[in-house]
Amino acid sequence: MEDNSSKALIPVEKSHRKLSQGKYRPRTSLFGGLRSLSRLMIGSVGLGIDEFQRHLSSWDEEYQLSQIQNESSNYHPSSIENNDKVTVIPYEEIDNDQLSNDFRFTIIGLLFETQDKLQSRLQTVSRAGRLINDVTTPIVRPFTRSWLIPPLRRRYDALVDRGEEELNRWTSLGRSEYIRSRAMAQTAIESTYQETVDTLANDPEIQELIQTQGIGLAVEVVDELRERSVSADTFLDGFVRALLRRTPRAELPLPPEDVQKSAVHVRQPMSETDK
Amino acid sequence: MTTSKHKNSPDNLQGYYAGFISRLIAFVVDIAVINLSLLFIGWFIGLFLSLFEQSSALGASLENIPYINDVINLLLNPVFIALFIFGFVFIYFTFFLSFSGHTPGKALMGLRVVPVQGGPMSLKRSILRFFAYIPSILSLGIGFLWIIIDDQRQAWQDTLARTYVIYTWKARPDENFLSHDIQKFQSSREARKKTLSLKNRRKQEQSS
Repeated sequence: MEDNSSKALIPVEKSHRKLSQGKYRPRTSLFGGLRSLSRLMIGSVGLGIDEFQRHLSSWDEEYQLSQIQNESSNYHPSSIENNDKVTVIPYEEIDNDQLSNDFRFTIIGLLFETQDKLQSRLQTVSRAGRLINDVTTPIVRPFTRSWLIPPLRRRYDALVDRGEEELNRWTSLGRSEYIRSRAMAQTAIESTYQETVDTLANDPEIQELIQTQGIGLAVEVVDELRERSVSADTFLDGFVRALLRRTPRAELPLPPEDVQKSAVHVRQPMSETDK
Repeated sequence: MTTSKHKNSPDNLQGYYAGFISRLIAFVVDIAVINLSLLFIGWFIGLFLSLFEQSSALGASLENIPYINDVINLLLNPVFIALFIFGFVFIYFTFFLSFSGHTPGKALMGLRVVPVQGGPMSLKRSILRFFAYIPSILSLGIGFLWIIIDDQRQAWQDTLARTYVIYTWKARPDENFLSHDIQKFQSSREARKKTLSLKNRRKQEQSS
């Protein structure tokens, strides 16, 4: 099942086919699921990283654009110096909680400083390695060209060849598996999305819920408001009459019959009329 | 349901006089509707006036229309604005009351204004009721608060225009909201009734 789908999605490289026929055993029923799961995970991570990087670059562009706009609009700000240029932050936007802000800014500054330092150290290490190589090569040359070295060198080269061959095999396998994984994750995401949309679009219960929820909620709120206002009317009556030491109402006075009829003939409001 | 706990209490208060809080909420809703409408009209007039800005080509061409500056000055006159707002509020209340017996706020709260003899509201009575708001407002709201102590729950504008405000829905109090306080008032009411009846009996005994 999995094999067919993967073949349909991507072309499998020849080298990989050879590998599949040889040492590389693609799957048994037990490991088929595990392999699919691995593919799904790798594909999801790959897609996620790509998407994240894409968003990062777009956010960065947006940020740069807003910075340019801020600078051009003559805003009067306090400024914080960055590595590349002066970053403008309106003074009002800086939080009043200075202590926690200082700590936060220190941590952020440390993070960026560490990145910069690490980058410069790596460059130094690389330069130092080249220098050592240049210095030591002429010194060790007599040894490397002596009659003892060639047999050892041949053995070493053979080992390196075997290692390279193994590495190439892994690379080839990784490449093809990565492509499959991405395709599989893409299919999984799309089908999940499609299923969700289909469910939302076709399920009558969900459709009814969406349609009636807004109206139902409004009706409920109005009914609740009305009921509470009637309670409050009764309460206020009692309270004020007690306050004024008036004789309490035995009952609400009944309006004339014609007046009562006028209430019935009007449009029946909301759901309460049917209760 | 507090009303059903009494022997002669009705199942619901449909057709009964509406209380102060319900009417206050309805009034607040009406004021909100009026304010929003005026805001929209003001925005529309502002948009219309912005056409006459001299900087725009359209404004320059419209300036040649005769009396246009007078019209603009009239629209921006505070007296005209005040009259316009008063007219709008007047039309709002009289139109809705004479048309259906309730304003949008009263419709939301399930209330209706009816003449004391029943039937639909006439335009004349609606206008009268609108102008009867003036004494209620001038008395610093006492005219409105009269609803609480009046037996028929009539405000001054209702008394002057000879109208009642009634519930049009099957009004029932909320089972939980303020139920404890209402019960307390009702029990104190019953206690007071008993003491009154005892006093009356004693008086009768003494007189006999």
